[in-house]
Amino acid sequence: MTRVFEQYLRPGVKATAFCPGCGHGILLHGILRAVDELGLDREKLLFVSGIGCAAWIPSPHILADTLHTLHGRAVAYATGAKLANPALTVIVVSGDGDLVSIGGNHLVHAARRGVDLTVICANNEIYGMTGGQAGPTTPVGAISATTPRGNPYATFDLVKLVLGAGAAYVARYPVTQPRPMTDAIKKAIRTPGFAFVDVASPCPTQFGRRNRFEDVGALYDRTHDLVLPREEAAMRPQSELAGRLVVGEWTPEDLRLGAGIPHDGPGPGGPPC
Amino acid sequence: METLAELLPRAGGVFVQMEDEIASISAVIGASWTGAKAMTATSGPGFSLMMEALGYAVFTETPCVIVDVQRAGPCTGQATRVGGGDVMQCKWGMHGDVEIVALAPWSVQEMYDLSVRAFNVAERLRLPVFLMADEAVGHLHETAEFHDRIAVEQRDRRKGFPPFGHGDPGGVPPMPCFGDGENLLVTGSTHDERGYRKVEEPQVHARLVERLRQKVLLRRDELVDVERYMLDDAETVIVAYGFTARGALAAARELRGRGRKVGLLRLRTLWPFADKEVAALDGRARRVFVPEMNHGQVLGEVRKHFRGDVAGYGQTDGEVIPVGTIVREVERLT
Amino acid sequence: MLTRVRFGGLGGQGIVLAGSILGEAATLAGLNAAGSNSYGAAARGTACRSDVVLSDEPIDYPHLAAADVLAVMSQAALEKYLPIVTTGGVVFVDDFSVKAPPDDGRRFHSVPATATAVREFGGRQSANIILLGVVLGAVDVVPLDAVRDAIRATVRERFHAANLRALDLGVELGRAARRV
Repeated sequence: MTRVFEQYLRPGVKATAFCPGCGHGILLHGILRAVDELGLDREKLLFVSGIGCAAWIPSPHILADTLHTLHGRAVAYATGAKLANPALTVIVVSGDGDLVSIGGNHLVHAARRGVDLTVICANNEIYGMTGGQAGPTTPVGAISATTPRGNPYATFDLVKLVLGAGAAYVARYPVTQPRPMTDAIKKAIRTPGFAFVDVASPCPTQFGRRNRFEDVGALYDRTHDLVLPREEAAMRPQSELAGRLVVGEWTPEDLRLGAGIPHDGPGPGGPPC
Repeated sequence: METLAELLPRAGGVFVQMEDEIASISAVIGASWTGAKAMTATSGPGFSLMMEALGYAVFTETPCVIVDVQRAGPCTGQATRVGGGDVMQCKWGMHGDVEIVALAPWSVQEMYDLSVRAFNVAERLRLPVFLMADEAVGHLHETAEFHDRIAVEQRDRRKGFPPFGHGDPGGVPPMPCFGDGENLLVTGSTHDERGYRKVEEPQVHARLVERLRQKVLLRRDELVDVERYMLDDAETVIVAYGFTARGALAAARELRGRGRKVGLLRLRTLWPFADKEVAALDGRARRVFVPEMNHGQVLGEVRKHFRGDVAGYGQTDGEVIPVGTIVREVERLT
Repeated sequence: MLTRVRFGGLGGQGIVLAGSILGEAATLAGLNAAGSNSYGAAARGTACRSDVVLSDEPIDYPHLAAADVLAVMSQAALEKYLPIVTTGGVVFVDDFSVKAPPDDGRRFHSVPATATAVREFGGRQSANIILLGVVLGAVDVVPLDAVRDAIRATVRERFHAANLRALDLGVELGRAARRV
């Protein structure tokens, strides 16, 4: 990280808790760059997170108000904070298991209500901190601590989920595309109303090792190779979209037109029984 | 809550109906840290759902008020009928050892007065305060007096002090809020006085848990609130709270009319428990009788502190305990 | 002086509203009032009740173990609630749907609440206020001006005139019953 952003880090916090090769450090950098480029008043900046590796992206690292909450509840806490003081810029940063599984209800309802929040989902396709259990974003067939024979269940497409729930702005980029990712975060923060950024952030320790990505580079290559811009995806047949990482930005207008929304479907899996 | 939805926005406040009770208490905590006086109200299973976040409120020293209009449980139970089975839950329902403050109103007037008190105590001590009402009080219509001016405890928002530490064992640190420029670090994990996570250090955890307990216990004399009726020469003392205490008062008067020396010790606070006040009955009263809409949740506490005869009457059928039942039970004892 | 009043009937007849107005009126008149009523599903379509305790002293116990006055709009309510009426108590029944038994130490008054509502207003909606008026005309519990104020405070403005007239009609019926 360039030293320019040291001013945004809490003094005394020397090292992150992230494993070597974790994508969350890149995301932390992207968030700080977005905050810096937008010139946000840090005294009016509140970060809210839940439980899990991604919840540590803001807490304790970022030198701003940070509220490190319970597993899954970050969006509900953030809603209360934003309503109590609308002058605050409130940014939720948490993981896929936290925001979408345990906190799924809060996520869709905050989107429905249109509360002016920015929610950044550090999506590593697995429960990292608690030991590599499958989550609602784990790919079909992927090995996890709780799916030793491959995940049989369909995967949530967070873009469709949150857009369908009423978000004003939704974007998806991987940490391997830091510039568009950062621009999407900036746009999300500037969006009045509920904005959501799904950031694909590889987890070498829990996801990579179990799924035979022998080194970090191979896992990042996978993420890079899965990327498909939404414009390109719109021209491909459905059969070619399964498992791909369709990236881009979406607004409610896309819902109305029905075009460009990824339809990667549940894949070949299904419940084991 | 329907009334608050109408009135709060008119008074410059905010009302939001969240998606569930977990979200409600979570939003309350978020709002409190942003400087607002915040509350929620629930009953039965909704109260159970809030337990995890209530532990968070205790541990992060977040002022807030929770109104629990107790109904007949367990589970969904009798959704619109009365119960009193949450007395222990508000104290012990959160995992880990906590001390909280719980008030027990018995009238519409006290729903008002004790709500004000609950907010003031919550702000002064930085903790969740429970208004443990019951359905009979919750659905009561009654003449009550509302005041033009009320004494309101303002939060100590001084900056520059550690927001989670205090030199005194039961000290309450100042609580600046989000947006005050303090770069607050708030976590539900064990934390040091500045909010840094310190989950590996036994002394930090022990010191924090103990201070949070002593915050309440050292102030028990100012917190514990009882009312005494006809106790001077009472041989039998009824200890009661909430709606049941009104039946107990009527029963005590009726028994006095029959020449029985009966009095009432009414608990207006459930927690911290009125241990000294109950113990003070020793040597004067011969027996204590505890009627309640559960199977002995306060009875057990009374037994710990009164050495004479203690008997209870537990009723959990979704109905209030009739005055006649209390009269009958006391006469049976004497 | 303590007066305990119960209104009984079926959900939808406005039983709860009658009790609320009486309680509000007592408060406006400087008395103490306490009340409770059927709640939720019980207040709709099945037997329901509304209780009011009135006193010039603070009220120790706000529920009814016994009633001095019972006013009912359904036969089921009469049968269910009659046992709590004290000896010397007064019972008012709406003659449209309830048959009053002979006096048994308690006074029974059969009054045309619903019939009057249908005749004067073309519908049954005001029968509850007429019955409230009956009680107030027959038993001195709360000054009528306070009841009028309570109606204005409780009922939507466009219904004020009709409800105030229904009250007066009921009071006349109550005074007539008192003279019997």
